[in-house]
Amino acid sequence: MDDLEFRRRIFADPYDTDQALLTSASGNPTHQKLLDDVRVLDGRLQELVQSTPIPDSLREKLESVLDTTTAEAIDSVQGAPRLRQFAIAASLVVAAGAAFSVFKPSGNPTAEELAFGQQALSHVYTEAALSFAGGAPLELQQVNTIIGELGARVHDTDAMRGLHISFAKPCAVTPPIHSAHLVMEDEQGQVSVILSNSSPVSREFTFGDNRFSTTVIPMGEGALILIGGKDQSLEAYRELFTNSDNVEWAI
Amino acid sequence: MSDAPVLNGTTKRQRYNSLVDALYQDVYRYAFWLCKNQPLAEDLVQETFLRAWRSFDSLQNDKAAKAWLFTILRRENARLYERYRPDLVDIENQSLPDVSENEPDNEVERQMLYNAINKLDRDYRDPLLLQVIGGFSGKEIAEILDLNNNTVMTRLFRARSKLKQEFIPDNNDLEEELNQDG
Repeated sequence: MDDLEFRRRIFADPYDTDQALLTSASGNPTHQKLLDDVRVLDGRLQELVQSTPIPDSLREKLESVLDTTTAEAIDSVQGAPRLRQFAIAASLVVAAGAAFSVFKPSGNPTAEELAFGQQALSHVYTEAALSFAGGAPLELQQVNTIIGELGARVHDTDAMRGLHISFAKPCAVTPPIHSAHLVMEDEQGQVSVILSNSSPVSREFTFGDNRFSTTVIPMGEGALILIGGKDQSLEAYRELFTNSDNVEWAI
Repeated sequence: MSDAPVLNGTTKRQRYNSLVDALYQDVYRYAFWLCKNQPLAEDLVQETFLRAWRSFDSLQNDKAAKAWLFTILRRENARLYERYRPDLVDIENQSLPDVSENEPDNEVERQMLYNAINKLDRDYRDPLLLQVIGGFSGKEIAEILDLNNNTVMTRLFRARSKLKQEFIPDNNDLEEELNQDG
């Protein structure tokens, strides 16, 4: 192994156990000295970061925050049937999506609307870290079991059958708001579609960061949120999920 | 879709508590090194674990929990603080967290190392901290930072090269080598 390769490998990972690397060190005093030096440095680094004092009360705080959250979750679950009854009574279906767009205010989103969108994006970051990609496509019936809780249903159309839906689960984008999160896979990557039965959003807006692009579309009292890669086209999903031939959604 | 059984409240809470016990200290250390501010780091950790709890049913493999938590934390840090308080950290005025049992000489060296780490470009510092605090492999770091593995390994190499040059100088033309690497 030449000097540069050796140096690159041990500086990137001083505890690389690759046999070729270790052989190179043991057979070359200069390499061995360099490896020892880098490990000394790494020992200092380790000691420094491990000595970061942990606040005494932190563990307790994590417990108490969770207790509060759990109580809120119980409240929201108890309130959910009433919300659903109200939603179904309103009996608005997504076919009215076009009408909503006529009356939506224009201009930039408010801070509250943007915060809602950001919460959805954060949720996707959280889920994305779990690497749900690559799963077998779900049957539309399975998807309906999940999103039926929100009064939503996908229809068995060619367009919907053509989707590769790899993930579907109920979620809480901004607790206690109940939502459903679907993940679609296409040749450009993954797209998250979040159906939320309640939202503060009254205008459509798009925002993004260096990884994702997000479109938030108001739908009655709720919102449809589309999140894909920053260069990924979301228009096809927008058309699919705002078309009542494909999706029925009581909001 | 998950094939995992639905956890009842108690079991889920127990599993979650075990996770918190095992990982909260590392998560806090990383939070502190990201924002260099104890109250902010505490807030970040609380927000991170709160988000983790809300999505906890999605966590199918506990071995993936640490990388998951660090990813949530990074995202929360970006969302809550970096965007709104970019000037929060003034490296020259930053002090190492007090660890009183250290000898004065050690303390000087530790402070120098602390400053040197914080002066690294963020592109180099991020993977280094993930490796040293989280113990992540290059592949795991690549996933957390959304980079490819080669880029991560190059950045780790450069991070340690710069630190070594400062603390354990040798006769090799490292700087020249780094410059040649672009």
